[in-house]
Order: sequence, then C-alpha cells, then structure tokens
Amino acid sequence: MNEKISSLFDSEINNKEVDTILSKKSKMAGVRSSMSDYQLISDVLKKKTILPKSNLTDKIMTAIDKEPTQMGGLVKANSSNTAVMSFEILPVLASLAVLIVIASTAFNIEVNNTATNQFLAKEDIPQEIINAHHAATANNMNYFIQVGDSAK
Amino acid sequence: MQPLKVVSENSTVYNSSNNKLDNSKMEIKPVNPDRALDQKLVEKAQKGDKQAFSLLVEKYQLKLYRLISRMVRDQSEIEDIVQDSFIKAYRAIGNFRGDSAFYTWLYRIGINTAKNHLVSLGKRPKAMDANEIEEMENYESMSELRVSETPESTMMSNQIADTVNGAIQNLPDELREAISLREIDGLCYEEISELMDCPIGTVRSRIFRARETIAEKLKPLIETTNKRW
Repeated sequence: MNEKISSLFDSEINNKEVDTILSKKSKMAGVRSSMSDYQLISDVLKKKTILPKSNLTDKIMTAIDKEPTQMGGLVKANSSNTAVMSFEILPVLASLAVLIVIASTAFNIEVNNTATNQFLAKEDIPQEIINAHHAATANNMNYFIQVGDSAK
Repeated sequence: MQPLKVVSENSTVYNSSNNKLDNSKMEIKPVNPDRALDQKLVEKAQKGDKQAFSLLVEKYQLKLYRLISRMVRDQSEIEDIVQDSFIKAYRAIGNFRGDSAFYTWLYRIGINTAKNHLVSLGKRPKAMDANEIEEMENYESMSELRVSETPESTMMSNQIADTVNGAIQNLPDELREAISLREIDGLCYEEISELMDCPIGTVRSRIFRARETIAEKLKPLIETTNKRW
C-alpha cells in the first residue's frame, strides 16, 4: 500500500491502483500524511522554502465534508444543506424562460389583434377607415413573407 | 554511477558523457501522467468521491499556498484563501471538463479568491500581466515562499533540511541514486529504469524505500515542529 502512495505522489500509478487506494477510506488520513511527508522531502531536495507540516488539508476537507456531494454534475444535498441547485439545470431553466417569453409575446399579439384593436376601432375609428387600412396593410404572415422576398 | 542524462520537456535525451543528443532514446509521451492522474481524480470527485478530491487537495494545497503568498503576506489569511479556493473548486467541480489542467483551473480560482479578499479589505490587488500569470501558473518554478519568517521557523527549516540531506547521504547508493534522479533531475520511472538498467518495479521500490527511510529520520523532528511552529 505504502509503495502505491509513493507512486501516487509521483503520478506513476495506474487507474486500478488509484481505485485500490481510494477504496480504503479508513486509511485515507494515513495516505495524506505520507504524501505530506514526501512533499516535505521533495521540497528540501528541490531547495524550496520549507513549510511546516500543517493540518490545512484536514481543515479544508472538514469544510468540504459539510458541502453537498457532487454527483456527475448534479448535487446531492447533505441533510444539513437542502437548498441546493446545480448549475446544470440553468440551461433548461433558460430555455423554459425563452419559451415563456415567446408564448407570452404571441399571446399579446393575438390580444392586440383581437381585443384591444377591435375595441379601439369600435369606439373611435369609422369602419370604412378600418377596412381601408386592412386592405392596404399586410397581416403579420404577409409582412414576413414580404420582408423575406425583399431580402432576396 | 552511470553518466547523468537530462531529459528536456520534449523528451530529447542528452547524454552528458559525450555531450551529444541521443536520438535513439527519443520518445514523446502522449499523455502527461500528472494531468492524467488529476483527471482521474477529478472524474471520481465529480461522481461523489470526496476522498479523491482530498488527494487533489493534498497534492496542490502547498503549491496554492506558495502562489497566494505572492499576493498576501499574513499566514492565517493565506490559509483562509487557500481553503476558500478549494471549496469553490469543489462546488464547481461538476463544470470542470478537463480543457485545461486541473492545477491551471485551480490556480485561477486561487488568484481570483485572493484578489477578492484584498478588495474586501480595501486593498487594491496588484494588476498582473500575462507573463506574471503564466509564471504563477507554472507552479514548479515557484520555490520561494513570500511570508515573513521568524528566527525560530528559519532554525527549524534548517534542521529539517540538514536531517533530509544527512539521511540522503546515508542511503545505500541505489536508493540515493533513484530518489535523486526522481526529485532533483525530475525523471520519470521509465527513464530512471533505463538509466539504472533495472525494471520499473525496482525503481518504484527503491524510491519508496528511500522516502520511507528519510521520513523515519524526520518523524521526531516533524512532531516537535508541529508543536512549536
């Protein structure tokens, strides 16, 4: 096992051996301690400034243990932290928002075409003017076809 | 001991005995083993294995500490920034796709966290040009730690260095040669096995035994320093 840790420190280890090391969860503190010793030796040999062996990794992992577990881009909430949403959901929500805006816009156009315009027409504008206006103005579909044709 | 061969980044082998490039030994490794291992650990972390992430923390916390020490002097602040950086990295690990090396990604998180920390204290973070960012990302070149040293910490550093160097000198030749080629010359196991004319498994065993012997000598000193440092 310890020889594997030395190889792990040098990144000279195959996937199966990594799995073996990670499978022994109860020994991970020992694994990290050995790697820390090897780092200290390496720093001395490379004439780097030596840092005392610290428990920084333990502090970091204590904090990370409180974080929700990452599960393939999704997040599995810890019991202590349930208000979690993965960023992976954001594109779906964005698409949904776009659909809502399009549907809402289409609905408004329909409302404007039917209710509001007719209401205004009935109240304020003589019918013959409205008829003349409709005859001279393309409806929405025709408008886009005309634009398309003119683009060609 | 055989003549030392130095392997450059593009894996051209230089033979110091005749000052010639040894093209017959040239080979290009398709994958950086360091990056491949990191990717493996990242994938495991993405699938919920926190222990895999803990190995990445162990591997890079000191390098990140050195990086941050170039921007922040206070040791407790550096530790807080390093911790925050790893937490941010863990929260975002699902989005890491391996387009860059893990350490490059982590170091950018670290730099941004340090900058935000300085801004929160009302300090203006030093603007860095592309060369400086590249230098900071190149963690292997950063040997200096820019935090204030006390006479006591300097003395303990010297004691540790003396112990390691003394232990190295007392190692059997084959162990000393193997660990020197690995740590000082930066050779991979395959290159060391060619140089020492022995199987890779033997290289692996020699490096491990060398480390264990040195670590054993260091143990009492580390226990003392942890209490005093």
